[in-house]
Amino acid sequence: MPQSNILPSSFRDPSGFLFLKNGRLYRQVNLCYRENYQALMSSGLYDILVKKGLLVPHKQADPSLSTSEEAFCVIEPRRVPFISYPYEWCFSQLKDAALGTLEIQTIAFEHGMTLKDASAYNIQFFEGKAVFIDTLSFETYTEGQAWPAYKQFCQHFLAPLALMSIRDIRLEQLLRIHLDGVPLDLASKLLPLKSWLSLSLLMHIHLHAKSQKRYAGSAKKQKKQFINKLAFRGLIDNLESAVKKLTWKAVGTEWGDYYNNTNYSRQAAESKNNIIQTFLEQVKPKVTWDMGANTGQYSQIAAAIGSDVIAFDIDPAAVEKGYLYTKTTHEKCILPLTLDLCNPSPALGWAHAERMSLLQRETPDAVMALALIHHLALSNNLPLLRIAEFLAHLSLWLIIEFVPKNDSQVQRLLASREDIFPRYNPSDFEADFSEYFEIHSKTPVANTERTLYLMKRISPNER
Amino acid sequence: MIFAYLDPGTGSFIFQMLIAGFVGGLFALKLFWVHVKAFFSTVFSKRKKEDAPK
Repeated sequence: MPQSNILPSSFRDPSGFLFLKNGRLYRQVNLCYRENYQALMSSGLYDILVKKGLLVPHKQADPSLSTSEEAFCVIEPRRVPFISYPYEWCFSQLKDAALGTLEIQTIAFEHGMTLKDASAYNIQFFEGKAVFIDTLSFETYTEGQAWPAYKQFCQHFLAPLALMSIRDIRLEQLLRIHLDGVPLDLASKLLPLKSWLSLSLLMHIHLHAKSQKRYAGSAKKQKKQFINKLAFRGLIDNLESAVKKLTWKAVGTEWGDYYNNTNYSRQAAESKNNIIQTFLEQVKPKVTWDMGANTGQYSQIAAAIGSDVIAFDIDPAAVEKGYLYTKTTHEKCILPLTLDLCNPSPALGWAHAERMSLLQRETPDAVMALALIHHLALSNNLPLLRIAEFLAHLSLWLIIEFVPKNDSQVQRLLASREDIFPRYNPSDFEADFSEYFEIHSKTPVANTERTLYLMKRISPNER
Repeated sequence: MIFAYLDPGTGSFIFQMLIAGFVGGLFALKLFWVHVKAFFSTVFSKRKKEDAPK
């Protein structure tokens, strides 16, 4: 098989790999994983996990799709439409991913199996739920063995959740640097002293880190491990209580209370909703990205007309609120994610290829950039032409709100700085965006100074 | 380059063995407590049923 068809996110695992053929996604199961794969399928574990929505379902595919001698079989997993990464999740998404992993481990144990790894990258959010996507992570449990995924679980889930909950929510970004999770010695140093009073954090982070340091250099082959079943279950149970105890309340960040603190009258808000709905109905996007979505108020309009929406925002509190909203309302079409648009997720890992950059993922049919332009152009000094170029790169359709200088929110932005933005006005905005887009509709928002535009990208040959 | 040969994974395995007795004990206590609670809740719910006017 050409190496170029193999997805680089899965090349570390000797049990098999993901590959693309004729635009479809397949997973090769290698001969060395045959017994574990058969145990997963025949023990009833696969069925129960799929039934509970915890594991991505798959179909058996034609084995001749693989020409490799190592292949045992080929399966076709259900495709997750948008791949997201732990450094883009809010606190509750990471927590739900952790609890999902432990639930899977508990059910696997009841079926005589165990997870061999507990990477946060094995979880994806699909239809509003944390779903495990690595079918090859299960192995048969042998009495007396330790949990092979213990270290990874602590690094990928427990340590970042503890840091976010107790120290600072922004420490989640450590996951963007440390792709195999936050090193426990680092987490132990960064956690406040009071964390030593929590029995589970003391044990699974502080003492665990010390033990890693103490035995790290020991080259001796370890004696046969023996951890009885009760202790094994106890470890998982203890980790579960540790994760459940960690909480974070979405307050105190910049945008968490934005909708209680805007300059919209009721009439203006209604007008804005109606215009956005009209534009979306014209475009009928299958996938919409709402950039600067806040808690996802306008994403809901797109979801209501049947679009899948990724609701990006820079503020962890807004994303947290958006996610909790989708959970309580069982909203399956909106995926809220944390993203700094001025520094979007890059390609990471070996050969820059293990984790995709934002633009390497499936791009949308429409982008909404509502009440965003002034943050990009004024707070971040981005020229309008550059903003237009980037948005044109993202999607065919653009719904964008222009917020002029006499708007009270823009006045607030300019209050403490010199106005060095002579081109920030409606006519220059239209001129610069017309380089990349054709303006389809332009509607002022009632009772405000703002205007909403529906634009369509001009194809590069017509420019 | 000495750090390149250090593997925190070894310490994680040994650490699991060190805490096994403790987490196992805690879990046994928890299971015991669940049984005690279940026992009393069945006793009381039976009594309530018996006391209920027929």
